[in-house]
Amino acid sequence: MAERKRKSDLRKMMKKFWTNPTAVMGAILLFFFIGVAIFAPQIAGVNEFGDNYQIPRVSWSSSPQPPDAEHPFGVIGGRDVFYGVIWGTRTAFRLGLIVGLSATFIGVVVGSIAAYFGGIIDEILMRITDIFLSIPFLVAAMVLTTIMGKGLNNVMIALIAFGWMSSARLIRGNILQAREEQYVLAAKALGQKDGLIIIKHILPNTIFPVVVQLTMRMGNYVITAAALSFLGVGAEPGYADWGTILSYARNWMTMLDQAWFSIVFPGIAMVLFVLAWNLVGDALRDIFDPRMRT
Amino acid sequence: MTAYIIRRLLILPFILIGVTLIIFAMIWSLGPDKLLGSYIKSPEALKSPDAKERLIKKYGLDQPMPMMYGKWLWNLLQGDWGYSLVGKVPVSEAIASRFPYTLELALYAVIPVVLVAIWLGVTSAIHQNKFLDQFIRVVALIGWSLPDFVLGLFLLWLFYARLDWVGPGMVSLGFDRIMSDPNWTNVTRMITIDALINGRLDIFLDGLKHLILPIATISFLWWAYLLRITRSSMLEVLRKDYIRTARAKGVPEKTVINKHARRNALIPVVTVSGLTIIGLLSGTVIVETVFVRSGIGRFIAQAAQLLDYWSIIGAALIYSLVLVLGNLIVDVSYAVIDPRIRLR
Repeated sequence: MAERKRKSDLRKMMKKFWTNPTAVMGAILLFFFIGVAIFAPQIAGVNEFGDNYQIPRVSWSSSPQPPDAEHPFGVIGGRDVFYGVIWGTRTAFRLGLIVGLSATFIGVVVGSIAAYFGGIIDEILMRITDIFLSIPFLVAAMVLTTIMGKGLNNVMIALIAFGWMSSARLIRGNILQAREEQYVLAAKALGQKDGLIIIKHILPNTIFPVVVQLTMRMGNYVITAAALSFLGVGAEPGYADWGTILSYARNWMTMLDQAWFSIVFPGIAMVLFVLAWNLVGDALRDIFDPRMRT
Repeated sequence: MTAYIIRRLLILPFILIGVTLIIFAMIWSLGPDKLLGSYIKSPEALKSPDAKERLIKKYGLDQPMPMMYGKWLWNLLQGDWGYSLVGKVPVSEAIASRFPYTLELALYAVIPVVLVAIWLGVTSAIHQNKFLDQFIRVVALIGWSLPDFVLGLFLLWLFYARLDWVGPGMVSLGFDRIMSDPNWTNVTRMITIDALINGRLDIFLDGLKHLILPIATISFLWWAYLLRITRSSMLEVLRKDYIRTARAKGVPEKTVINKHARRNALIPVVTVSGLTIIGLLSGTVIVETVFVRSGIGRFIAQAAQLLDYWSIIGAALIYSLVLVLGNLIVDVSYAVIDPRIRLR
């Protein structure tokens, strides 16, 4: 009975999602990017001289070449912008998913432990969370990547290390509310184990806001990673990543007229990618939170 | 109320120690060899064969972590923040000379960011689900999705490369020479204010002109966030009974909105605006780098590229200090403004 109810709720939510124009737009954009990521080798070709995630050099001259038939998005720093934008989509998904899921997982674990046990454990964990929140996200990520050295893996580690706190706080708040609910008290009275209560009863009822937050933050992680690359402490030069292409434009800051394509194309890709996640997240929040609807 | 403030003040030192501990753990993980590099100002010092071991001993880089942490914290409190390779002066000096520029940018940015966001949020709420509301929300969402360096570079391309209206930097080319002149009196080190003190209206206006693009970049990103909070808070207030009463007794709609609804809706917005100032201060890394403004943000970005560890650490500490103290002030003032929030 309960199972069937949950299913019909889900169907209702899906219906709400697909009748919301902004949500549909977000979903279409997201599917478009997934398509681009999957068919990257067919769209932009592969790097015949090595790793596909290295943008192949097409010229040894450092001056930018405007878009032409052979290089539709132009060439900057000797690298083909089109190749970088297309393969950069894969990088964006990989980075967003790995960082988003790991950070959320850590946050959920920390938050649930803090909320469920309360007392001194809660106090310690929450003060640690406060401490991590006391260093601005971009600055903290910059310090850590500078110290660990360049490379996409180090960027991801830095983003995870300083990205878990908001989900920890969110899940803790939700669990504190849920802990007082009748069904949890009932499970406790029946003598169920603490861990089981958290996993079986509390998390399923408190996880939705976390999912919404994850969707909304996905774009943020990708932007921050790109910002690190732009500042010169992110991915290695030549890596197929949107921020890396933009960092080439930095050398042409006073002559942007000759390098506009290296900002415009990866910029558009980045905006649409983030917008897609935000639209979907926005719609999900409206669906899960009836107060925002009326 | 007092108990709440005291509790917050008691936690403060723990938070600060925690922050320094995290930051120190990161530098410490570099190991003695790399750390030594940041102490040595010329390669000459390493010429003799046993120089490396000797210097590592001299600076105490082989000591256990708690000892090194204690020594570092002690130096920090004494004002010895290390030597900055980027600034070619001690880190504390480099930061002190750059901080006013960042503060100036943040202070100017707050006004357009907060006022416009409130206005948009209220407008959006009044026209809920109508075209205007949808339009404002979509534009704001685009702003929210726009990375600051993309928008900044785009504006620079449009207004500098295309229209040649205003360039990067903090003042036009000739003026920076006047400002480094010994006759120039530095009081606040904020360009626009010092220009007025020196009686140079042209430099003041030029400084303002150079602030427009950075502020436009920052504003567009923050509007979406503040607007959303104003909108939902306004919507909640508009559903309250006293609004219905006011409307029922025939109060003009304009008065209902301006007097009854907006004032009450702004309580949460005030808090978030406080957080915005902090966010603006700590969010200037990218904007300052793109627009070549020599504040703390650009300082840390340059330091990161040159692997100038002590400068990075110093700037990160200042950012954290601003964040921690700012949060404290906001929380306390929130408790003062809204009697319902005398927490726990």
